[in-house]
Amino acid sequence: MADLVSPVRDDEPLLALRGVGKRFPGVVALDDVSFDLRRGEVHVLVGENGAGKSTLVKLLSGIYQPDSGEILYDGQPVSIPSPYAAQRMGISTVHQELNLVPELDIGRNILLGREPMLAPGIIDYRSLYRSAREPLAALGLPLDPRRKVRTLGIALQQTVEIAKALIANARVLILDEPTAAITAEEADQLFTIVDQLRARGTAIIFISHHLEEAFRIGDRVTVLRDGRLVDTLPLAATNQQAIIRMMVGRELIQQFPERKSTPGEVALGVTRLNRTGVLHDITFEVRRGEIVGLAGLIGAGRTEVARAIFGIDAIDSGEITINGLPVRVANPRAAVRRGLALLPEDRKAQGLVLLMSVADNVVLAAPGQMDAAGGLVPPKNRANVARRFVDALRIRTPSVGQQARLLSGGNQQKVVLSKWLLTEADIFIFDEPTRGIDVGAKVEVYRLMNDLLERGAAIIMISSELPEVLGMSDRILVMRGGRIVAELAGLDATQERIMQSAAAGSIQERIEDVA
Amino acid sequence: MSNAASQALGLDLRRITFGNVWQVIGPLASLIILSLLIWWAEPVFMSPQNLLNVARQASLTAILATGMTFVILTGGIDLSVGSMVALSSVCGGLLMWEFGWPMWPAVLVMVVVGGLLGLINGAIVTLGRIPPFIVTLGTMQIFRGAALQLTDGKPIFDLTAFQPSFSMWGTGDLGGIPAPVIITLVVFVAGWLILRYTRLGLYTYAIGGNEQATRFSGVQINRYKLGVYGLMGVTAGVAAVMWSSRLNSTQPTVATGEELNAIAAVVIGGTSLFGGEGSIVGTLIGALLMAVIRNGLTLLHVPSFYQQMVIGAVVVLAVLIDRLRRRETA
Repeated sequence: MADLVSPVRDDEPLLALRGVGKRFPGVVALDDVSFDLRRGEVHVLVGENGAGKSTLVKLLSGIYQPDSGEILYDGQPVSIPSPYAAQRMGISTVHQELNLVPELDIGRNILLGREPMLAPGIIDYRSLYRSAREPLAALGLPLDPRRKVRTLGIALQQTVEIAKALIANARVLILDEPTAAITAEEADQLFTIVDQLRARGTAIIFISHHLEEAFRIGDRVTVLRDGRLVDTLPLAATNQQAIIRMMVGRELIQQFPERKSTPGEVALGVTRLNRTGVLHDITFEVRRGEIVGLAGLIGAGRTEVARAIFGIDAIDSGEITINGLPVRVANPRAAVRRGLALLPEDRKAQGLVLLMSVADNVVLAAPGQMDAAGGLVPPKNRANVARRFVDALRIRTPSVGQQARLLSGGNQQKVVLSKWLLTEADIFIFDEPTRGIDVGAKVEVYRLMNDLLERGAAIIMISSELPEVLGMSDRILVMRGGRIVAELAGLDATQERIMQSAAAGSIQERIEDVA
Repeated sequence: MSNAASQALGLDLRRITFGNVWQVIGPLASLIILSLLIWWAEPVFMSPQNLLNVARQASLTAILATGMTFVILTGGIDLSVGSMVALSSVCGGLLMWEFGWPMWPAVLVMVVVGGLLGLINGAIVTLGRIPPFIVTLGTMQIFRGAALQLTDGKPIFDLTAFQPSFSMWGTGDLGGIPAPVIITLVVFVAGWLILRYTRLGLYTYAIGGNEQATRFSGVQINRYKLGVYGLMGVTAGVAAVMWSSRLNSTQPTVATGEELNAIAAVVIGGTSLFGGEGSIVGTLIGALLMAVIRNGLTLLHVPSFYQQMVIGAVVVLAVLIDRLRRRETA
């Protein structure tokens, strides 16, 4: 790995885009974008969803080819025809969706495609595991390279990807929203690693939705908006507000909109809910017109609470009451019939049928609402119903016939919400309601949540974004290890208090936990 | 284009994306171009007599492929359809031949048996949570074995000697249009209506597109999957009626390998084997395309072994084109 430590020369960019454009049918994804990356810098790339960040990354990692403009590497015009070529050139990308083989162990993953050979076709496993230990040690991770990747948490899997990049002698490392799915502590560890790599002269592109992270880790920032370059500037010379302005092109007056509702009757009660090894004595209630926030680290059991209430996972004991009456929720269908709605964390995998149209997604949970004879659900009725919601929720889509996969994150979330509005649900579980949603669209989601409350809905909101939890919740329940360990409200509710309750235990403990 | 504008034009933009257009236009264009080519090489091809012949040849595959479209749209597969046809046919045939049942009840039995066999597949798939490929690989053998056992492995010939009216399903016609063609059209239209207008149709796409999200929306997945496999069985039963009538016999080895033709027609028609995407119109075109190729090659005196090779190549080509289209719109 000696050649990683190349002499740091700041004057000349290692990698540069010159006037690059990329078009897709009906969309200009990138328009005349120039960008440069120096050795030993962390260059943060920000922009709303659809701003062109992913396209830029895909151009650099060889997945897409530019339609116009050029890419310079070491000052020479180059083409990056494939992901393989990108790697050979020293450009490694850690994508949001990790590219690991879960059933193979860490060592085989790290050296996948570059296994040391004893003879042609015969792998030298001893040397393989020896080589795999090097980057793991360099990253400060004493992991056994014979452990299956499947058994690692997302944060550690990400580190394995970075180790893979080190083995590939990456000179450019692209991290695509690496902190989206990991906890704050794990992010700290990641930043330490990024710092180390920077010190060795690796040029790093860091994509993030969290501006605090940008300031914490970055040297320079490039802002994209609607496929165009807004500006590139040193982070020392700017602030969050200024960057948000550049991202959205307007001032964001208020992130968490005013709410008029006040808590009323208890809509949902949960008493001593248990699921062996997962949930322990979960007891809480949610009133109409209030948001109860569920805070905690990933793996604390928040999503599991949602799944238990919604009848996805069976519970071993405990009672659920709706409007004061005990109910049995054996499966999601029963939950839907009782007026529950789940907006899952992973919208694409659990909330939407991406290949289906907006209209079909909207009516999925309640085709009976379309009052056609004989239980028929004619496409025309579906479209009419869906159009109502597209208008009311201001869903941006060319038509209700558009496939759901082509919508932005915020609009997809609105489609999922429409689905539940159609079932006339009144107890909503929002699991990470604004994950992967642009700054501007977040506020819209918050507004919609407030609207629900004013109509008498009760909301449980699971969120890993502390400002969101604090800004939106009437009460906050903090979870750890499958238990509710604190309830905070009013002045008690601070980031510090939440983190104190949520994170008892070290990273090391959690590494072991994962196993 | 804005919502309002598209509404004003009365357009449903759903189908007007490049990918969707290609899904139907691609196979249709292939069908037309191929037909024109064959016509040019052999004018007899376009004679009404021959065209009806093509339609008749397409009928068995088209009927089965209609049911298969539903199964494949849910992300499943049914390898047992050929065996279902055989077992349904044998059951009805035995009732007429051995027990002297009249025509109508025997026909009904064939369809019902088909439906039941389909439900058996569906029940094992849903309750046992076993991949449909494995389940139907097993039932393919079981159903075929049962059909052979029931008849001692021997065909029952000359069914019309017992029930003369039974011939109407295979050799009859209505205003010159052969019964198999009419039956196929009825099955096809029914399938199209179900897919487009009913919950079963909506959920068929939804389950194939994202089973988890569909379940989390409160849809009883198992019930609808059962329905889809049942429907597949019913089409097999209908095919059994038509085919036994046309052959004027019931044979335990009938429709061997026909499941592959049905799957091929669905795939050529642009339906994704991963489920969630595709259309029943495409399937009909796929079935016709296969029949046109067979017929055309026969007219041109190409030996039948070559025909098989060509059909195989078309299947691979269709998927290849589909793959390229997806990459383009990804």
